[in-house]
Amino acid sequence: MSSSSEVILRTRGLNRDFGGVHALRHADLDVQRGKITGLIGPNGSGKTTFFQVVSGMDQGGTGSVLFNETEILGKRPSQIYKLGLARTFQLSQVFPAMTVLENLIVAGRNHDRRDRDRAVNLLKQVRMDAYADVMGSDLSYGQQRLVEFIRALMSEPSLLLLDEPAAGVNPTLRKVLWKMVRQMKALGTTVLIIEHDMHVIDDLCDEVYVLNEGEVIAQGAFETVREDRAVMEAYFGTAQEEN
Amino acid sequence: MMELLDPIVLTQFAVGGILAGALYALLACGLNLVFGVMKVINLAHAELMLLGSFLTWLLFTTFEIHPLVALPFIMVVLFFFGYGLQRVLIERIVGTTELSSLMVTYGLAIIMMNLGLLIFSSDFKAVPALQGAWFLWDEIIISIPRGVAGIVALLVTLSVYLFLEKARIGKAIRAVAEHADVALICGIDVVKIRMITFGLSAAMAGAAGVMLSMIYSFSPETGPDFILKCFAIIIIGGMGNFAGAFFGGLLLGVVEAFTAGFISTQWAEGVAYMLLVIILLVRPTGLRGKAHA
Repeated sequence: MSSSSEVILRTRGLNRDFGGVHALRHADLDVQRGKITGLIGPNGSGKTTFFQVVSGMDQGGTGSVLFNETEILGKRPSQIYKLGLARTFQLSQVFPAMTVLENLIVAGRNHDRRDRDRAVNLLKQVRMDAYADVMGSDLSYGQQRLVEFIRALMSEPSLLLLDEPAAGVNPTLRKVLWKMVRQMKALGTTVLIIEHDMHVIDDLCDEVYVLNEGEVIAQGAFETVREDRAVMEAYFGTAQEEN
Repeated sequence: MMELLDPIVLTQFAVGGILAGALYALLACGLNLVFGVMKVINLAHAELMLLGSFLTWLLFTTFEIHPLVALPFIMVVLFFFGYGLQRVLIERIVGTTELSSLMVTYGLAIIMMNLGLLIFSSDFKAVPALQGAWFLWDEIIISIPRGVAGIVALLVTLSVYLFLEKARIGKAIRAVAEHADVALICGIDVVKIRMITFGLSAAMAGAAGVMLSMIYSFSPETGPDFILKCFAIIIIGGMGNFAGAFFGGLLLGVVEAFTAGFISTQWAEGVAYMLLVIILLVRPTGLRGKAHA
């Protein structure tokens, strides 16, 4: 087991039930500090529910969620955000009647000029500085996703949860997005990412967790996980025969 | 009839209408702010306004404090009253059905009205702090109480608008109004923002009450006349849209003034609802509202 100082997020026995449906079942994950960790699994396996519970958006989870060795299960999303955990949503969620700059500043943590400067700087990094005064509703879907992504960086989070950040984004903007994710890692930000494109997972992630029916069924390097019999069964119904 | 088409007379109607409409706008913007942020229809909004009116009357008759001097104090009192009300009562119905918010706020309106009747009786009160008239270009006459009330109402509404546009908390209020879930992950304390919003709305109602006390006589039972007009205004302007409520209020004031001038004051009382029907037929989302899927 990794030492707690190397682990930024640790969940133990994490459960979330919706009536008779177990969306999360004793989900135990360790997210290593400074790494990019992938969270994969078939549709309905509990990935987004995991994000919802960890970020405090869903208050119905039980078990334990330690973030930087602090129990955050039961804390409000705004409290968790201030502790340094930010996230994005599966579907693009910008504030449509606010400008791009306002969309970013509203998520700042300093509440002064530094938030504006950081917002402008982030917009430059994704080559969207010309869009600062454009309303959120006037952006293309891909641009909205980029704005949502850099908004999550406004608080300079130590852990970033990305829920399919490239879904619906064109290939050019995808490249910008993945470049930013790598930059974040280089700057010391830990990333936990849900992504369906296995090439991206293979390319980006240091470690991968696989969820199926709310349970962690595999963990490790992508090369190892993709050969795992339980993973293949989860994705394909039966394990593929070896040639 | 021809003398009514005289530009001086038409300008008189328009100026009088804008000043009266400014008071409607102040009241309706506060109501729409709460609806925009938490989808709660506050039927007790006019009672909050009357609380401002009665506080003005008390300060004026007891301590001879001028309503314009009392205005900031009353707005602060109403802000904290609204803030507390949100915490103990309204927060419980946020996210529930519109019917729940109607029932709870209607109950609150009845309680406040009856408390008003117990304390102040049903006798009409007035605060004759200002008298006289201004003459614009020597021909257009504006009564000073109505002129001051209109200008102050415009200034308060404009100040709140600028606060929402420019201040950090104002931006947070707009963020919660647009997407409460997204606001949560932006580190915004949504519950606190809702309390501030209701407090702000109550302070605006209180300011409208101060202005009302200078131009109308009022009793604890005056509320329903205003709340019905406010509903007409926010539907005309667009539900949840601050600027829409502002322009809707001004429009109603002007249309009422012209109706009173050209037809009769009795017709002016009903024109809000006729305007409502016309707007709903032509533009169902209101002047500045947007359709939602």
